[in-house]
Amino acid sequence: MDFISMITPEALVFFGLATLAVAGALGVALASNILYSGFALMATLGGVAGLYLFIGLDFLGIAQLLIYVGGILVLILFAVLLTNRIGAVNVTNVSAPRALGGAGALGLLGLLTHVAVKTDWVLTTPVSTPTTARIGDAFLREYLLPFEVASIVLLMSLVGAMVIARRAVRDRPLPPVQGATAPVDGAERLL
Amino acid sequence: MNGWKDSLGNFDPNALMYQLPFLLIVGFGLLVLVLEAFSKGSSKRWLMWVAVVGIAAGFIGAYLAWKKLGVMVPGDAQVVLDIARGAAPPSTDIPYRELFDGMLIFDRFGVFMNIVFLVGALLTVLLVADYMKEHGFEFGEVFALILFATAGMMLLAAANDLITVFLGLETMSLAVYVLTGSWRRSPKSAEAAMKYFLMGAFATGLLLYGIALIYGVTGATNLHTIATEAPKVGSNPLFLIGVFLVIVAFGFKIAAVPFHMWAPDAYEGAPTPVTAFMAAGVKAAAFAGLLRFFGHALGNERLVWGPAGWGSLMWLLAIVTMTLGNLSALRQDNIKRMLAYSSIAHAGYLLIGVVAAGFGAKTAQPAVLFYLLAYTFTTIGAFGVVAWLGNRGDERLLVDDWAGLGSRHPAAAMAMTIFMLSLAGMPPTAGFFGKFYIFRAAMEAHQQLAGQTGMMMALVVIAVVNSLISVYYYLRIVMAMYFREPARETSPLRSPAVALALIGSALFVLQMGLLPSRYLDMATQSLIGR
Amino acid sequence: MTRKVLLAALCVASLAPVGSAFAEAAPGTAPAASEARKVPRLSISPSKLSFDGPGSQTVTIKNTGTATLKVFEIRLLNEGRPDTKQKDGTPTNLPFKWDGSAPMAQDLEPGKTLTAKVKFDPAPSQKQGVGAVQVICNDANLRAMPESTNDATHESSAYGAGIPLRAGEGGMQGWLLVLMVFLPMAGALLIVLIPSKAGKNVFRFVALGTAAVTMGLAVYLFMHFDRTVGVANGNYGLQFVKQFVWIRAFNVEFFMGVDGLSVTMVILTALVSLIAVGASWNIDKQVKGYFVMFLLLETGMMGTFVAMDYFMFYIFWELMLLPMYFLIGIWGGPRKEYATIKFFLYTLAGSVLLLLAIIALYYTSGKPGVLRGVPSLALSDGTPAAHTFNIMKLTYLNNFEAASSILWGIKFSHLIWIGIFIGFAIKVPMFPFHTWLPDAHVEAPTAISVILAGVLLKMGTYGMFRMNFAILPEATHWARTALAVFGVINILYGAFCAMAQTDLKKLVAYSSISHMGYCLLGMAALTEQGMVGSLMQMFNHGTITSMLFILVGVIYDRTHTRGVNEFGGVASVMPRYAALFGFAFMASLGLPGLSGFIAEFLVFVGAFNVYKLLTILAVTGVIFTAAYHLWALQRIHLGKFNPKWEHELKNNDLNFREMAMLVPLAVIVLILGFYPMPALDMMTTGMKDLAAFVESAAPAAKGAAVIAGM
Repeated sequence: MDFISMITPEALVFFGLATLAVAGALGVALASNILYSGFALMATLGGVAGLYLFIGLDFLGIAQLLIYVGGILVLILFAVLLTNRIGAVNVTNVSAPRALGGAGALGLLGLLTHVAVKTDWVLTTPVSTPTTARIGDAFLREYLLPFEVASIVLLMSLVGAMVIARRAVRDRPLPPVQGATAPVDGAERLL
Repeated sequence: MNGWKDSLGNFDPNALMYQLPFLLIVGFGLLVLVLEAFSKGSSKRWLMWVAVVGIAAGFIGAYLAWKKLGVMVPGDAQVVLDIARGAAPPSTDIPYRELFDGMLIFDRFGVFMNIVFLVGALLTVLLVADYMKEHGFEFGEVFALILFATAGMMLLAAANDLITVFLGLETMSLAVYVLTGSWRRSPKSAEAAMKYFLMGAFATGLLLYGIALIYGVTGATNLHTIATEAPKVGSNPLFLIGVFLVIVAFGFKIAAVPFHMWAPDAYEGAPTPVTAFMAAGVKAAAFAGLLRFFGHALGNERLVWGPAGWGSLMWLLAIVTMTLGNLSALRQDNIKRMLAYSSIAHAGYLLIGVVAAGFGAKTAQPAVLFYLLAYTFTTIGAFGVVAWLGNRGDERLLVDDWAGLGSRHPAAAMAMTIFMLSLAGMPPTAGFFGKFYIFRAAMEAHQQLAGQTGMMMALVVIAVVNSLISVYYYLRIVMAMYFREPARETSPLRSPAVALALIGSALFVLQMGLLPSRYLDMATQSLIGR
Repeated sequence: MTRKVLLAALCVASLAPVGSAFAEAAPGTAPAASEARKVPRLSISPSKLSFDGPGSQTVTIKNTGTATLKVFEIRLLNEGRPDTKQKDGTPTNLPFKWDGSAPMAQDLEPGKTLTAKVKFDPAPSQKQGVGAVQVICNDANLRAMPESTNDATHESSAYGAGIPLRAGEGGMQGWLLVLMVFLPMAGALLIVLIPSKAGKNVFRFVALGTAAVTMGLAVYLFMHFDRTVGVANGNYGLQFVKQFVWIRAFNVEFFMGVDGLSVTMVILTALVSLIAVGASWNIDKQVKGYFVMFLLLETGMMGTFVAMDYFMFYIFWELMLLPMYFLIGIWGGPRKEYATIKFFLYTLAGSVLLLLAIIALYYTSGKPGVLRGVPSLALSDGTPAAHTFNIMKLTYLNNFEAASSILWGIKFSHLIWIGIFIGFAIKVPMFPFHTWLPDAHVEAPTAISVILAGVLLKMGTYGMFRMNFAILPEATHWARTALAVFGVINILYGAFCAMAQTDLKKLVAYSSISHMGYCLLGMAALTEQGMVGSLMQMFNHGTITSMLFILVGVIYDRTHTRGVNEFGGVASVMPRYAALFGFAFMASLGLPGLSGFIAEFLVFVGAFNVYKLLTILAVTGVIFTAAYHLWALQRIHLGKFNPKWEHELKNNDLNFREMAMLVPLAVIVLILGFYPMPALDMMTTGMKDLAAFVESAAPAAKGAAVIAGM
């Protein structure tokens, strides 16, 4: 199979979207400014949404855009912009050298690529019918339980976020903690 | 598209009975939230009793579910006798019930695990209320969070589908992350929560990736379907990587070396009762998942052994985990950190049981169950004594702080001694039977492999050497308590709830060591259905 | 305080229903099964047998079910040992026989009957044990027994018999050992319940009373133990048997009994414990806790010697370890932390090896190639069991050689033998594993040293007899030379080390190592004399070394030093002390006429024919033994009195308590020195059986010839 014949419009779109997603991810990980990381994340999420749409998952793609790009990412940017004074947190863990991490990541990449190429994939043609109805049906049939349990998970996240974030109105004054290393202020703000 | 009746077509509302413990716990969790929101007054300690009632209801639910699951037979001596006396041999199937299109499975294995989680939750609830009050970070939601985490564990233990596994794991983990960081004035607690959360999120990602790959190969997330498909695709690298990723994700949850880095810091920083809950409940739930997915669904000898088998990997993981856990624990002066490493080591012992279950050792599943029950009482008890001893601004976490406790607080020292002996696996405590049962299961696996390999034997030998090493650091605490003169004044928590939890767990540890029969019988009847 | 008590009561009350509710939920819910349970498949007549002396009786077994049964074992409550040499598997030595010449396993068709002639020649102490006939049968459905069973209801479960069988219940005599084991524990409980303000003497007297009653029971045991009963008399030669199923899920039985080997140790334990209570009288710190631990220790020791179930043995073995740990750790000398952790880790290392070996033996037992004589194993109530922990069944019904695969280049049974052996060798302590002993002795209080040297060391050699020799006889033959070599090393090394000691207690400790070497050498001979000598040495060393440690304690109490060189001429101020000291040292070095000599003599006689060179080497050990004993004696008691101790020692000779401890021991040493028969009688039958059993597994004679050349 010659290389030129592989360059179909579909392939171009796919690789374009994939490049967008991967480049965005690299940006998130490597950017020195956390704000840039946030914006790079947008590229990743957008790329993934595009991939969903590309294989005909209309609902999933739109949901990805609405929730992740429209909701979560905006929240992240808010959080980043409002907490610009994070600092002075002592990290007690040792971090492996960058080279080692890079080598590990490259090794994993090689392994996964190898596997992806070797595997005899089962191919299906993307459906062009809207998926919304099927998803809704599945939610209330075979995936009823996960659907219901997800509500508990969400409720708990809300409660948890509130517990950690709310002002400590009921906290009584506390004598200085022995052996505290990080300033209490920093920790409060971090959370 | 035949409407809702179709989707309820084979759904028997009575079957919800099996899910009673889960429903009760979730219901009471919500109740606690509502009561917290609408109650006046600054002390929320009374909510503890609501949670206790909820857990008690959960126990009743578990009992009813246990009864409803009926007699399972092949291992039952009475049935053996009946066969001898002319009765037709009963069906060898283990009673189980699948619900929600195979998303959940209810069998006695799940019920037993539910009991373990409920015990963990009960003890934690009893410990946490006065601990928080003493250290000045009272809030009512903690009880709801504990109940929700318990519900997540129950889901995990009943999961018959990788999606449910994931959901259960998340429900449990999210609640525990919050609990870890709940001591907001303590920077260590914040650090612990952060580390735990980041590592947990990472593990979740890996788990999802693994599930996706397994789905890609087998076309299913249902454990039963995977079990039938897996032997066909067993050597597919995609499947192997998927399984590997799931092992790594669970490795994070049970804090197996080398995925344990977060554990000592998280255990040390979290409020002590929460640490106890993490060490006992979270670990037990993860092992329930491991047993269901690996010990049972993938318990096909072709998948287990060999260079690419998950058993080989877990075999290695078990050795590294117990050895490094124990060796690191040896050097700790901080009791919480020491118990954290000890908990890592115990994960290693438990992994032996999972590997043995993979080889089809019939005693392995009950062995892990019994071990988990014993370990829950023991480890929560031990952390409970740690929580009990400290007071505001002075947590008394160093071994030296415990000098002379034997003469000052004989009952507490006695309880701690019992817990330490149980962790070390000495008779007459529950820990001894747990360890014995696990080693026995491993030997059974060795016998089944007889002639092929001595690796199970090697595993047992290493485990035995490890449990010997562990005795040293457990006894260090006992020595400090009894053999040294008191160092400083202590003013421990004055709390009947904590005392109840400690006395109760000490008595259970002793009872399971002296009269283990009924618990062992219970464990042997708790097999995974289907 | 009351609140605490209430809490505790609440907890206790809540315990029982929680677990049992789940455990008992299982059976009985399926109606079909419970109806089937009511249908007996066998009838046996008569259900009870009575024998007034030797006799025989015919038993009729009828199949009342609908399927053919394979009847493979009929037994009285007292089980017999099938003679493995019989070709057709017919047990000749069983106390009952099949009618005619029927093979062992018989098919019994529905409606048919089978008669068995039961012959019984009971010893007096066994007679009460005969209560019923038990039939073990099997059918096709049952060929594969489940590995673990979980009958929570414990109803009668001997197949088809329908007779309430309680195997091993031998009337009141069956309870004797149970009483001896658990009486000290009850005493400990009593002490716990007495409030601390009752005064130290109350605790002391409760402990003394408990130990004394136990000793009284031991005397009863000594009087009523039938010296003629051996394995051939059935019941594996055990007497005073108590047996029932304990942990069904693990096939663990509660099984106590004594034979010649155990009974010696039990009597020694009771004696030494009683003496040690006396030696504990001057413990002044936390007296209550001390005696609780002490009595628990006694329970652990007793239990170890009478447990005939390997699992139960292990539990008692560990149970003994913990009180010892606290006794040295809390009431010990300045370096107690080091000594206790060393003692604990060494012993625990040994016991985890035991645990491994136990599990390995358990899983190997009952396998098709391993079982000899009988087609399958059963628990004492007749429930079939795939594997067993029962020491007697491991010994006589299993042949572990038969299933020995090669693991890591060593035969499996040899590997197990080594594991068990190291476990016990640490306890003995045998040469490379001995270093914990001097440390533990130096730090331990006097009474604990007495127990340690008097009883605990013997657990090692007892275990070797009971496990290594009995369960793995072939491997014992394989390793016998190494055993003898280690024995001789122990004798010589211990003696040399003792010679170099200036601390009197360390000297005695090393002398223990040396003396335990004689035990090892004697047992390695595998001859009856050697083994009896070894057992005799265990008993005698227990009594003599107890005296020695008490004597060391006496002088330490007065002067707070144990330096051999710091004294001199003590005989001139403490004549009674000097006399007993001299007596004990003479006994220890093996002076003829005192009990130590008898044992050493038997060991040498037994070993000489087998290991000439090694025995000669060992005999030279006697010279060194004499040397260090006499030097110590001379340096302490002879010469000029060191005036430094004028105040401490003058007019401070042995008091009544000390005499009361030492004199009875001295009398025993003296009597056994002149007339050892009471002790030897007790041991001989049991050891003869053991020696014969081990001999039966001997390899070809050429191997023996090679060994004899050494």
